[in-house]
Amino acid sequence: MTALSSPQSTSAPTDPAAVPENTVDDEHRVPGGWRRAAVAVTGAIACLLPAVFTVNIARMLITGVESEHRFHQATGQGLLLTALWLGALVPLVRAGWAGRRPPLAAGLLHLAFVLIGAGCAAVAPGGGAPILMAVIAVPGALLWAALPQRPRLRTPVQIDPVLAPVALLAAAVFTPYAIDQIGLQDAATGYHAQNPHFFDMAWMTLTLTAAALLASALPAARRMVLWLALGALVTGAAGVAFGESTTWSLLVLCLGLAAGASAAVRHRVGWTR
Amino acid sequence: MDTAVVRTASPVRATAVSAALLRSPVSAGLAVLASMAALGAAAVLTAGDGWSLEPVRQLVVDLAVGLTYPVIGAVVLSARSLDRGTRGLAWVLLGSGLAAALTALTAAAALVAAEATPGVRVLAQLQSWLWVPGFLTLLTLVPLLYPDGLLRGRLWRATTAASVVGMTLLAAGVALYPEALAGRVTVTKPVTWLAGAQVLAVAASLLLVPACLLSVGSLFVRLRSSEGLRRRQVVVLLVAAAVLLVVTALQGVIPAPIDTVAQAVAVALLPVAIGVAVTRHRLYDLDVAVCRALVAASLAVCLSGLYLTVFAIARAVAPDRSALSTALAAGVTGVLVQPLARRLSAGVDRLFYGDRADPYAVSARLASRLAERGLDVAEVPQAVCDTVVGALRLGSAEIRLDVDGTEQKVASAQAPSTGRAGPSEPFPLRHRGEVIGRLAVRARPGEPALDPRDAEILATVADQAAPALAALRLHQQLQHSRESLVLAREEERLRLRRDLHDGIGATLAGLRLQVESAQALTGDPRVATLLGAAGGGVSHAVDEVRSITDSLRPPAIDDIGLGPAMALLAERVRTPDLAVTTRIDEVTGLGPAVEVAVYRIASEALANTARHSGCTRVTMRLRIEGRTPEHGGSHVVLEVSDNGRGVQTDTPAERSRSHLGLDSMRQRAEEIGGSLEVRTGSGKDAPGGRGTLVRAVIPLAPARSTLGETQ
Repeated sequence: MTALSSPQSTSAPTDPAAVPENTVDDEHRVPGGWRRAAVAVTGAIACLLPAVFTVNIARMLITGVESEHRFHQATGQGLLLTALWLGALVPLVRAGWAGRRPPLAAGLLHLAFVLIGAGCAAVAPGGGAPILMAVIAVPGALLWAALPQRPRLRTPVQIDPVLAPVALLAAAVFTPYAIDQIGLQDAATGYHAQNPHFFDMAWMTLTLTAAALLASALPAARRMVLWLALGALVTGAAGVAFGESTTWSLLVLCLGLAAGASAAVRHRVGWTR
Repeated sequence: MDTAVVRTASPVRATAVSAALLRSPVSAGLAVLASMAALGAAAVLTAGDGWSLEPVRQLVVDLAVGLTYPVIGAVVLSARSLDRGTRGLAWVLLGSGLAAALTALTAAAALVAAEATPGVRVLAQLQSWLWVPGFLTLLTLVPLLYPDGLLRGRLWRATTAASVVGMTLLAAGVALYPEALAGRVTVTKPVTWLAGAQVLAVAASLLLVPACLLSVGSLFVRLRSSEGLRRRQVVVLLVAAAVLLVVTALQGVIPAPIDTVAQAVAVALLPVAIGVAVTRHRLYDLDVAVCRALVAASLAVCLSGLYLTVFAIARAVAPDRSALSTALAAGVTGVLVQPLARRLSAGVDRLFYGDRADPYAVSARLASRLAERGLDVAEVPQAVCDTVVGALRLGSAEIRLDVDGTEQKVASAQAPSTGRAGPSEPFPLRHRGEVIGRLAVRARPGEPALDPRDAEILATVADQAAPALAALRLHQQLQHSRESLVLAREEERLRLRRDLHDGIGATLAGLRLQVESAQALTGDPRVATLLGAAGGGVSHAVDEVRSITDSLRPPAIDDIGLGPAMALLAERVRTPDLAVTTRIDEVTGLGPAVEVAVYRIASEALANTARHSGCTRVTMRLRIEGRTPEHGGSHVVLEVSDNGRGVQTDTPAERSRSHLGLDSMRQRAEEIGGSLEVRTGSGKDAPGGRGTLVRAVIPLAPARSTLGETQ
């Protein structure tokens, strides 16, 4: 007799309220050879610069080269920036290689990273920032063109009552800071004009803010708040450790803790509820 | 009508209050006394113009404690059916509040006194120690007793004793400590003893410090070990305590006098939280307040962040026009207040109640789930239960279907953390006017019953799911009928085979022998020819009968038994290049349909292995397994595994071949209630990870034939 089985699902049932990033209609087709080659080549080009940058900055940080800039090496002009950069690119490349649709969060992060960088470069063009952004944007665009399926950017909007306050707090903390940094970059001369770490700091902080705002608005991108938590904790800790403004550093650290706590609450309740 | 309602309500309410007071007159009296003392302190300070004195800042907190704690304690004591532990907690609140109120009163009187008379000095001495039971009980006895008494164990009784002794010693120590009170005049205590005070203080601290730590720790122990209502009660207190902690930490940052007021309010929150938690038995109404508070807090923070961000941007764009920046930020914030509040409120509702506010979303998600590719009809009930529990965050859901006159549970789902289970409410599943089953749902943890909005949505879900569940029931009935037909067919074939073999077959065989004997005996060649022809005809008939009986059932099963017949099958495919291993348990008592299905599946699987797999080793196992959760009653398990190339589906021809063979085997298993599983790449014999495993599980007790007993 075929059993009218009575399985009891005592663990959390599959959340039917979950907004899937890839719908059941997405077909997982193994891409052809040429397509894979295109993804590999464009992905390699796009990831080359941040990978080299990461290694270089890590070496400088460890060996103490330009030790007066260790804060920037750890954050906006260094490891945190490349983490955001590669954190957006790598999931795109992996999904493209496998023929899957890339996660929305990766697509949005990459777009935010490039667009915010372009915006900051337009406002503070010193130190070769526009050229840098062109070097970043063009391979990124080629990678998007090479992907067999692109992230599904049209997604429902639902403001999250736990993440929205954290995101707007981040905006309140980081926006004035970014504006100040851009002002400093514009006014910089000499070494600081050629080495635009003020621009990088503005770029990095605004990208973290954008990630948090997107997480608060899009159910499929809620996990992006983890970038704010990580970024704010690292920035705050680095500020305290490397002698930046204590008040600001502690404020950012508290923001990171708040973002982490909100992420923990979200994780407990369900990311896409 | 409203007036009439008010007129009848007022006397009822007054009677209820009186009854509550009469249940505990002592506590009511003490609460009144404490309130009067606190209010008296405020009056003394006002009359004596003492609010500007520095020590009065600490009195504000004492006043808050003196007003709120006794009242809440009395309210709790007036409630019906309190357990002993909660009563003890209420008395502690009452006592500490009274002590705080008396501290405030004595301190106020001593502070505003114009000269240090003996009476004023006594007041100074009193106020110096009365704060100990008024404050330290909040760090010791309250956490230990909250919400329903001491935790079990000697440790907690010892902690309570240490707290009481420690507070007594500390009170004595600070009372004797020669510290003057700096009010309008400096007032010294009449009785002091420095050495004794120091000894007492040290002894008290040795007891109180660990007692405080353990007491607070007991709350976290309760939090970890409790669930449901009790856990929610602890969380309520911890939230209030966290607020007090934050406000206290911000003392010195927040400008005066706001810091004092904030601390007084935060201190007053604690007894309110305690009172609500222990008297609102299920805290379900608290959810509404929590929701609103969460929306308000979220909105406040969002608007603040938005304002500051817009202001910063506006100032960057127009640095010389800060008024414009302010106006712009305020304008943007104002415009977004309502839409943001609406969306945040919807978000909080979703957090607490799931999609209750959006019935269409629930229906759409259920429809989407039911339309998923590859969803088996038997999985529909589970999909419905999961949707109900997940989308609406209800306690549990269960579907029971009427199958052949009996109600059978077919699926259930439960929320991960469910406290005490509430009553189950059934929703009929109606299809074409007939009730085919029930969807039984329990409310969210802490709710006494289903909310009407939930009930409305669940009725819709039941109506939406009923056709699919009716299809499942029909599918099940069809399956039963099919199984019955197959069983009847095999039983009939067995009967026919026996009848033919033992009846007409034996008769024809005997007749042939007689004809052959007659042919051998006759001398007449014409007779011999005729008999020869007749014998040939009879032989042909015998062969035909044998052919018919062989086609009805595999003859080997009846001739030598199922086990040896299967061993024979294995022997037929064995070659020098193909090693065949068999592990066949002695299986007896199998029905004719089961025997034939097992034999045919094994035959097909071995033939596929020999023809297509390219393997060098094949193993066949046959055994009987007992009752399992997956397969219910006892069942026979047939496994054929090889180390070949696995099931190939790269070309259409391969796909067609494999599908036909697998479909045939699967059909044979399913038509008598069994199942067939084919796995490629999982064979234990496959060193390269390939290989194929064919596994058939067939119940030993299929449905009875509806065509009657075989003869």
